[in-house]
Amino acid sequence: MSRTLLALLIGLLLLAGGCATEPWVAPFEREYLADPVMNFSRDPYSDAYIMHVYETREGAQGAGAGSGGGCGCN
Amino acid sequence: MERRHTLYRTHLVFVCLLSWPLLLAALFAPSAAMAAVLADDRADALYHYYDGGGVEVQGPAVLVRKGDNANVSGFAHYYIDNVTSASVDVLSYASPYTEQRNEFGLGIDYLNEDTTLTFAYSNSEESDYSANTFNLAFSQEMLSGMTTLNMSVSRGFNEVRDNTNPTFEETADVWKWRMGVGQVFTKKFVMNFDFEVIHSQGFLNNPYRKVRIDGNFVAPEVYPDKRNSLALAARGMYYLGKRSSTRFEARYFNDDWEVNALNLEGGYTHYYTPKLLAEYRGRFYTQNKAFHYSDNFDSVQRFMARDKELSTFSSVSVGYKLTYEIWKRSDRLLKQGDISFAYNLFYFDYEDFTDPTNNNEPYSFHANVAQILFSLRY
Repeated sequence: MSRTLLALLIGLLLLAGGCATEPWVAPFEREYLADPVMNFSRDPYSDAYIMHVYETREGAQGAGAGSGGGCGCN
Repeated sequence: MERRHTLYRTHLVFVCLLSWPLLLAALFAPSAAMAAVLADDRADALYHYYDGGGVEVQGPAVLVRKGDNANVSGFAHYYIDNVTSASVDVLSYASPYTEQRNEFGLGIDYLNEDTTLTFAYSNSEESDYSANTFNLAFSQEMLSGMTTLNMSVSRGFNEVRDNTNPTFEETADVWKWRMGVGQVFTKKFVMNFDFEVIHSQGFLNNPYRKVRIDGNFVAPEVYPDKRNSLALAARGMYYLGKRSSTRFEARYFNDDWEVNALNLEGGYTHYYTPKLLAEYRGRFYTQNKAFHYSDNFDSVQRFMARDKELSTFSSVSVGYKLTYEIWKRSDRLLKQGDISFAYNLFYFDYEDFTDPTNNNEPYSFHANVAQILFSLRY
């Protein structure tokens, strides 16, 4: 079952990559997307610090918006 | 446990198998009208402050990034944590202490058309912990910048020591595999999806922490020497108009220590004036305990943990960040200067971790987290 699902997913992604040649949001329509308010992380270094606070105090880790370092685990 | 390890090996195979077809799809994707760009040249000076649960951590940090305005951008950072700890663990069976953590890192981005390759290294040193981490990342923009594919692999070599025992020295190594997709859905709506698998192996507990058996702190923790986890995250951002946006995030985490966690986050960003940007955020996090965690064991077990980060708890945090643009002149050598202040209030509420210094009541604490950031663009 999982192999079928994997094959299907890969097929769909390849299909999407090969067929969708025209972007539905043209480059000249991206004024809003280019605004700094639409940036997930304007200050990545600052955000990495907050991620470090989370990772040292929570059991979960990974797939965060930034990446921490070191231990600081007490 | 063995069945769960097999399950996680399957996830690793899944990541590896999926990565290469996506890479091939990316390389043969139609050429883009909008090429990818390197990150801005910038220098950040940051002061950070954390105070909560008897622990105070503060110190400076600096980041410098410079590129050749074409294909290459290099970066370096240095970060200091000055720690004063009288946490509930420390007060229960040890003495307060102070120490310093120093971290430095170097990295380089290489851009070719819509493909960016990044190599980075970082080193973190404490009196009883050393961490060396290598990271290789790949990013590909496709479909005229509508879709961005990210993949990275990270390898950490860590050394654990014990300041009370000079002969104690163990290793803890970490592999991280991450894959993500960023997608433009409409003129006002974008989303990111991330999937990360982490494999840790070696001495994974704290050499100082003790477990409580029948009411007494008499034995050190004993952890399995392997931990495998996966995390899935979805983030979205929507432009509301009048230079404001709202964002949301959901992340699910699961590992073979039977920890399941979920966090939900929302935020609102708004330019009050062309120079003043304000962000507000709220976050909720919840997790259940690891299979080998207990606040008070009845008897000695093969694996024993009393780390509150492995207990059942939830936390809520709210915060804001204000950024003021001091100047912006594209004809100057120093093109832009910004100053930011950020504050976050955290509240942690533990369900099965009690405080021996407070009649064994369930433990809770709040923390104040602040940052001041000065950022230069050039």
